[in-house]
Amino acid sequence: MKKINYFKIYILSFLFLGLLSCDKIEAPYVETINMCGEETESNPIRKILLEDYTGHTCGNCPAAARLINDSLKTRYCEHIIPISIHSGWFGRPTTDFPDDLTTNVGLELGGNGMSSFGEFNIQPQPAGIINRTPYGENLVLTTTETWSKAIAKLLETPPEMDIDIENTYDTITNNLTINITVKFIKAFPNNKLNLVLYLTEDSVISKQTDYEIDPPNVIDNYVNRHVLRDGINGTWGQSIVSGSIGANQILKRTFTYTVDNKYKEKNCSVIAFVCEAKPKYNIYQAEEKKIME
Amino acid sequence: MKLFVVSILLTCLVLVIPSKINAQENKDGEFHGSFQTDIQYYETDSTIGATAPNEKMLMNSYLNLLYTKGNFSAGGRFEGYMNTLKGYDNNINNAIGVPYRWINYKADALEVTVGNYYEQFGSGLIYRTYEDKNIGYDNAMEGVRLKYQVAKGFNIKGIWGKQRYAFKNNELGFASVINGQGIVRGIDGEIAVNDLITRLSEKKTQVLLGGSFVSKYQEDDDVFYRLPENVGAYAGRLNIARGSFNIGAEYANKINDPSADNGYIYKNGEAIIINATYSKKGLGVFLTAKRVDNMSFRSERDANLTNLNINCIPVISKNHAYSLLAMYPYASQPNGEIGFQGEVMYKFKKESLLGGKYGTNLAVNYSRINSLKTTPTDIYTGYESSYFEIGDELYYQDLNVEINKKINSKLKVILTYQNLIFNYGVIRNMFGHEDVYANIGVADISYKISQNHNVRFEVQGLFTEQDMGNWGMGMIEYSVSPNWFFTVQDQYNYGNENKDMQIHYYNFAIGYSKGSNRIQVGYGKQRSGIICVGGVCRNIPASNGLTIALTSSF
Repeated sequence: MKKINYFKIYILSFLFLGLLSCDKIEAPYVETINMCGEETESNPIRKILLEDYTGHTCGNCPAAARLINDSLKTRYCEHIIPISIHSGWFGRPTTDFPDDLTTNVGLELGGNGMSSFGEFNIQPQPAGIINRTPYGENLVLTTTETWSKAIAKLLETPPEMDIDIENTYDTITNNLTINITVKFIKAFPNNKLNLVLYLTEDSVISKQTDYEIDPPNVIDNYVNRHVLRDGINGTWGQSIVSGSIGANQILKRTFTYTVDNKYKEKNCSVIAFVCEAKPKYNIYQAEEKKIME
Repeated sequence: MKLFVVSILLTCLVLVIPSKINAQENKDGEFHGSFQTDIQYYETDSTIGATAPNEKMLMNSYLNLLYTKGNFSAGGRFEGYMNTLKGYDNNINNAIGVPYRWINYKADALEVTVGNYYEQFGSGLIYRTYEDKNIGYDNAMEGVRLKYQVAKGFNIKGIWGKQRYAFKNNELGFASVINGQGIVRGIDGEIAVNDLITRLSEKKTQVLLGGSFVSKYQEDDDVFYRLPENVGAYAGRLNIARGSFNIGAEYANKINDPSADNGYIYKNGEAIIINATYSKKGLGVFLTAKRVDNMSFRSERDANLTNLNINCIPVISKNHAYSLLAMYPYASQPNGEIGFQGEVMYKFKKESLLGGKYGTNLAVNYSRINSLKTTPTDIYTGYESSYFEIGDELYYQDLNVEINKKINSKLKVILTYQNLIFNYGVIRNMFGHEDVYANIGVADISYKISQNHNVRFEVQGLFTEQDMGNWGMGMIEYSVSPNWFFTVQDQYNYGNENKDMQIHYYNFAIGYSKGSNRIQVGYGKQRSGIICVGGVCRNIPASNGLTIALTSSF
């Protein structure tokens, strides 16, 4: 009799835990969300740099690019600024994939996949870095499902500054003059901040491996979006604050740059962002503007 | 000079101090413990891509201490990363302190543990926490564990707590353990039927029954997905033994668990493992089959790599010890795999034709693991999988034969052959990389020179047209029992397509052991690679320099 009671206690406790400890979710599985149209003159928004470390022989990378352009961009609109950085083992030119979309900046950030994995130790691809700010304990996010969560977490806090870009481009000389205005919404009491400018080109056509299509899994005329082409003022930019700066302070900088004539200038943009200087990396604000509008 | 002095000092430590360190016996209690330290001095070597850190020398150290008195025991483990050795994640473990500590008390049939502990339910399909310093794995629980012997042969245990994620310095500079966000709780019961029911105790057929339930809780903080905050998994197991036969099976099922591992799908997970063995003198047969479907189970949805695993899917391929045989090890695929392994071990009798004077041991082992057969459904439910069908993609196949023979009173030989197919893209997560087809041979010859002097030769060859191409390996080990050994070895990548990478990875090592103390000092090049234990793996970077390993127990 005593043993039967123990059995009942065991079975009941088992069921008790089971009933209390399971959440079965039925459709719909997602919440509907859209953050478009929030930016106004008087209401600056936080814009987040989404670095997508990719390569033309990376078969899983087009799926990540589709996530960015079809899903995340639709959901977060102007809150995110994507940039594709071709680097690593899958970005290197090969006999079958001769186009070279890598850059010195990209290789410094993400490595060549052989002798170096870059400053950010990029190994599996695709790999995402969201505002160069760790999500949890990870700076490099190799599971694309975490990108949206990382963005959402960053958007919980209002922006600390606003960036404005004014581009003047001469189509004859290919000379670009970039005027940057950084308005500090909050004070920074003790920081080393850098201003970084990258040049990107959208809709670059080249060959790409894609595991989501039928074998031989190759797209000959793949459209590469937001491709990093150069660091206008180097990989890590230049210092704009070393110490403190007060709220409502405004900093202006002007840069000149010659755009390589092999790029389609109508597809080129300047991305500017303000970040902590190395060894911290986190980005406070980003902005993007086409060189010709 | 500095390295030489360090090596001499550590050797003296081993020779002198052991006589002073004994288990401290006290009529009021006992202390026991163990110590391990691994030190490496790095040199830059651009030919193999080895870089030296700014510190030049790095160290991982551990001290385990256990105190017992009557029904009470307590213990802890000191860990010092000064700084973390290369190849171990220094973002996860880089502090100095005592991240593992516990107190245990037994009162009649009840045993209570508070603090840190490791535990396993059945084969680990839904719950296994453990640590392995070789692969930098530690998912220790921090919380409470209860064990209760309900009756003879009937035991239950319950666990509740959070899992270790990292051990690092916090913002104030203090070393602290960072646990995962999720709370894990579970219960396991096991019944040895023949012990519980006394009239069955003398029966030849022995039956073991077990059942467990584990649940994790993590807040839904996602703005996009509607996520289950409580995810439960249950498992049942049965083992029947009779004479030379033993058969066991365990089945597990997990409810919807969208996570980074499975692409945030809401499909249930399940797994089954079946094994059967037959053994008698001179013959052993072992068969196992496994099917795993969407069984990644972590206490944080977005955890990755080897972090915060609640369960551990057993691997069913042979774990090889020889270096070239272990170059392409299999790692469990919790998202989906189906496979089997069979092994036959036979001893040809002494004085028989194939047995010779001393007998000959033969072992033939075969394992094959494939993908599941799946049909995509939608982006939220993921796919459906056919239970008994095997997917088209081969992940791993290993056929190996080992002959172990004593030739005479001085000479022993072990010959091993392996035929291997390795899906590099899936197992190493480097999609696009070609599969590796390899044949590997090993000859291990041991010769006893005299009573205390032994020499061992190892020759290995790996032959493949993929990856880095062919390898050759040679080693000579000279041991002076019971204390000393000396080894010289070289691994040569002679078949690499890139002539600049046809490199010799030479290594020299000296080891000394006395009692429970052991020190090994080595110098040479280490190729980059991977080390796996039980299906969990760690990348090893290329390195060049001096290594020192010291272990001691008391």
